[in-house]
Amino acid sequence: MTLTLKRLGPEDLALLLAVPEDLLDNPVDADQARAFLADPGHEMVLALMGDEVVGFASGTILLHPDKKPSMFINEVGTRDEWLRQGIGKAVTHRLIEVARERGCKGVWLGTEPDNDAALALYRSLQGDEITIVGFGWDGAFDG
Amino acid sequence: MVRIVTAGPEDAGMLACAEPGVFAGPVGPARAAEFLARPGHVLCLAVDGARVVGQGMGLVLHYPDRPEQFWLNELTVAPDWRGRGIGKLLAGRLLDEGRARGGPVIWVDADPGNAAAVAIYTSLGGARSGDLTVFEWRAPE
Repeated sequence: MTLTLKRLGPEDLALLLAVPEDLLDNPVDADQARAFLADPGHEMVLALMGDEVVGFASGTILLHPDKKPSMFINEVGTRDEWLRQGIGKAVTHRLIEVARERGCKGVWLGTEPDNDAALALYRSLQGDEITIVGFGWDGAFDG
Repeated sequence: MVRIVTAGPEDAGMLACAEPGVFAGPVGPARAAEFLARPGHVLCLAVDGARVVGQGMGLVLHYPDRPEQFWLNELTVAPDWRGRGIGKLLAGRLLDEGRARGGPVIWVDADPGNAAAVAIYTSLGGARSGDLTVFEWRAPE
């Protein structure tokens, strides 16, 4: 089987609703999924092994009044049984390409400094690396 | 007297009159119009008379599997107007806008060495995360 990468569009709601339960943190919600796909600033790339969805990366494009757009890569995930096969790197790389196709200059993401697998993946893609802190309200860091 | 306004599509022209340091680069009319027309993007301005002296931006993040979040991604006050509480007013307005548009969850990130930003977010009741590692890939010029 070969790995294929599919960039989702508004017509792909059925595919997104049918992804395996262990792909995302929670089951896909039809209304949230529809809003995600309909928003012109949101992008998702699925990794498929044959017909089976095995990984994904999603991001949001930020417009700026004073500079080129940028993309925040919001989530990257690979199902447990498909880890350590380069799938996370492949979907992240493809999402960065999508960002470039859409005119984004900066592409960035955040991860925990003790997440060794994530650090290794992103270092392999040769990103610049800095440390920040976040502030959340209304339970932003609870889940 | 500084007032805080949430910019609409009719305010694109006002952005071009911002004080130096409010925006990182020159405001482009087309980019400003596209930003102000884009659903989910919010721009709040601090206005002193006819001058734009500060700005804060945020946007709605969607997820297929959970409620949206609202994210504050920029907060800037022109150097000559700092130290007057304008940043806190802008951040407070963005929290209100985010709660109104993006659901209950709001977050922001900051350089931990930026004492002014840390003080503003702390005074507004924000919960501080542990350190996060950010990776960035910039397109060549």
